[in-house]
Amino acid sequence: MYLPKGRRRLIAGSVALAMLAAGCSADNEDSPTDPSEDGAFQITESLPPASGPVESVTWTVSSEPDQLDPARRARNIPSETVRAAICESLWRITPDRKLEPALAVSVDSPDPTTFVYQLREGVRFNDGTEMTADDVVASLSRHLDPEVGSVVADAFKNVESIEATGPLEVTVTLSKPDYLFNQQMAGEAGRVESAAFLHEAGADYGSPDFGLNCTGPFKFEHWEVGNSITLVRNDDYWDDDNPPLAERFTFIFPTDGSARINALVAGEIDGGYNVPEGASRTLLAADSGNLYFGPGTQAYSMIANQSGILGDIRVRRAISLALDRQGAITAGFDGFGSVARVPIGQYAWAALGLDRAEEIYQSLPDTAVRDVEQARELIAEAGVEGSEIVIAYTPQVPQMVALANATFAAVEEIGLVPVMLEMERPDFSRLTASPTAKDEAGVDLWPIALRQPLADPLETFSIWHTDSVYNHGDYSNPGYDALVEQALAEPDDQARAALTVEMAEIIAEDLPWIPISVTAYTLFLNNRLAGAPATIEGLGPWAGRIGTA
Amino acid sequence: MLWFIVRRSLGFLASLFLVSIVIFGMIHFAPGDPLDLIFEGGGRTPEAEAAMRARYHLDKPIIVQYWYWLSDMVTGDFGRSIAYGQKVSTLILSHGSTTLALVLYTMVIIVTVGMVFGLVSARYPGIVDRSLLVVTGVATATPPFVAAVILIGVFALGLGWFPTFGEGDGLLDQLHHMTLPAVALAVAYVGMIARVTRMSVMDELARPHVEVARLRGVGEATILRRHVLRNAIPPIMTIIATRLGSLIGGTTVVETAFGISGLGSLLVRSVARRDFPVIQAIGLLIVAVFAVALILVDILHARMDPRLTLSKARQR
Repeated sequence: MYLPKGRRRLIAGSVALAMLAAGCSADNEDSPTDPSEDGAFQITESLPPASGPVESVTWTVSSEPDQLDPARRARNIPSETVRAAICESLWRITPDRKLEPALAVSVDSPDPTTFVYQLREGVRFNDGTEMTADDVVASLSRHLDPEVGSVVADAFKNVESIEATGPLEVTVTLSKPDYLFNQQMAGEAGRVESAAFLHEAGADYGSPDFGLNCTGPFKFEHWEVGNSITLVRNDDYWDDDNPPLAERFTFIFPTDGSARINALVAGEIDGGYNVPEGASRTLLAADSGNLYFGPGTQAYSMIANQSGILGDIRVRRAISLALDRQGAITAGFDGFGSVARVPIGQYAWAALGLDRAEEIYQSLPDTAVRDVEQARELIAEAGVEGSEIVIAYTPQVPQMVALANATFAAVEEIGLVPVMLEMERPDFSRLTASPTAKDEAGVDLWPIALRQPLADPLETFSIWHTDSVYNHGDYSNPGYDALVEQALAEPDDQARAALTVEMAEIIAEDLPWIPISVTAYTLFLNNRLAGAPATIEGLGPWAGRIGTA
Repeated sequence: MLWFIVRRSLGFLASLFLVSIVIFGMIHFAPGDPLDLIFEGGGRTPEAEAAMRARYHLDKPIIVQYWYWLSDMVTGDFGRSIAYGQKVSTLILSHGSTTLALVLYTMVIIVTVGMVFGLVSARYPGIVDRSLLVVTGVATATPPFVAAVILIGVFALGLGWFPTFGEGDGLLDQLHHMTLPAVALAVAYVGMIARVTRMSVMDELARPHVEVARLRGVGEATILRRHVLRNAIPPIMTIIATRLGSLIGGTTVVETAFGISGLGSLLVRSVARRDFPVIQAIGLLIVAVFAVALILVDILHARMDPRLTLSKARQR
């Protein structure tokens, strides 16, 4: 529409003013400027416990879980977080990363290929039925069913049979010794659901209409798709030492990242784990609650596709030497992170004690030291100057964009030609979900976030075994494979952990995945509440511990 | 009138059928495998994949898939969401009521505020008119996402008068929650309606029949009400009806920004995840709503202006 010049200027000016006003209102004068300042980025290992029950708690997860079935979404944090409030496994992981009895009270290993579990008596599912060995057998066996296509099928790869050998006894027979299996029974692979409910729900298990019917501190009540999942207190919960404190626990998933942060700041939602790093300063300054940084294992790395130029270890080392990790942390995580020496954080060894875990980590090569000169020499030696390196990423995860950029810069600096490949989320997921996708797309490097939900670092380090389904770059080292096999067959936890340290040294040298950063887990908790675990790692019946401050 | 409705309904069904073919074709020929979402975490064994393909009829030729979809729709079955496994009809009903409430609230704001601004503008030329023109100009230039950010910043986070997200429970709570979203959505259209009202009213005020009424001593208010508004309304309704499409499109932005789980945000999420049964259903629904709105506007036009026969209704 035609407007005289003066009027156009006036309108432009008003709009600019309005936008400026919007920008200013989002600023926060009180936020700390540097995360390394004392108090701003301190790891909190545990929070004070709650003092009593509370009527309702609202909690947010980063996105709506589309499915609650562990067979489909065991490694999906929103799904896991909700599920951990409702369902339980045979063991629990304690805050100091040891196993303690949950639905199983003891395990016996008469020979290296047999585990006999004694189950807890008198445990009831949400619908009131009592848990028996048949339920455990049904819950575990379904992960072996190829038609179910479970994402944790790998945990059962050495399992020959799972049988109910008594009303409360389950015997698992393995084809070869696998002590990691018992550790897996503390995680998603060990979740127990009612056999009858599994049968009734069929392919709809874990969907909004059916939900879950488990043994945990809360019962699934209602899932309003796109909006919230409501849980109610399980008054018949078996664990009298950990009675659930909240009467109603509601998970809310605002559709938009900033809506989520705004709701926490305004006190409309009580808490949430793993808020985006960019929002940390806003939340640190919020009056409605506190932001805590909890211990965690999560680390970001770049997976190297061994079938391309990255198959040459000199190229991988060169990129690793040239990477500006600190810069990536500042750009991608607003400074809230630390340099990774292997593709997992030091908390992976927390079961050995935090001091020992730090010691182990410090003994690994220091990746914070850059040496571009040496990197260029390695590239010259390998004779690959001017070769193209394709770096894939998905814009839907902002942290990954920063990592891809840092890798781009490093690759360029050492005389190679980096090419960025932007992929939509479904295609990007295929790089890890399908063994052939990376070669089809011609991808050399892509970012991944790795965590270790179990207490045993062997869970992480068995990833680089040649046959592992999680060995996304196709790294193959017979010596490493032998170490993994040896560790799997090692009954003693300490001896097994020692072997994983040896594995870590190899991974740090060979760089099948180029480690970049370790990120702290965050927890935002409203002032009126207390008792939330400081980290989502190895979530036990976490939701039941949250009560009034 | 009855014959008109029958004729238009048949035309409506025919266009809906054609549109359904287009929507179905576009989605199915778009690159990407809808099952990628289900198997995002892994576990894509041949057996599991076969089971899922059968469940969503993806193992059949495309014509057969279209036939299943069409025949199921007639019985009210819109298939299952690939993401949630829930029936699409359930999803749409639960989300649709929210979006309907939002859109109605928005229309009330657009029509009342817009028309008031327009009337005042036309009635009081001079400084009042000119200031309102600036205001409505800025309003027309403000897209919903800009309005949303400003409103949240000022009224939700800043003053704390309104909640930052969600649609609320119960009538009053819903009104409270939906006020900012409705305003954000309405801003651009208020400007538009105000200007159209202003022009329409100014047009009418200059007509001979208004002059005559004034000479006869009829009060200004009565003139506005009985002689002017009746004739000014049809173009306003036409604008609203033709803009309905972009209004519905605006709900996707506003619902996402305010964390409202309506059809708009459901559509956004479904497109990102290639949840084609949901995309198809919502796409068809939007087209249907649009078509019905146009028919209704034609009928209203004819009722308001007896000079028009229904065949000439929208030429005005």
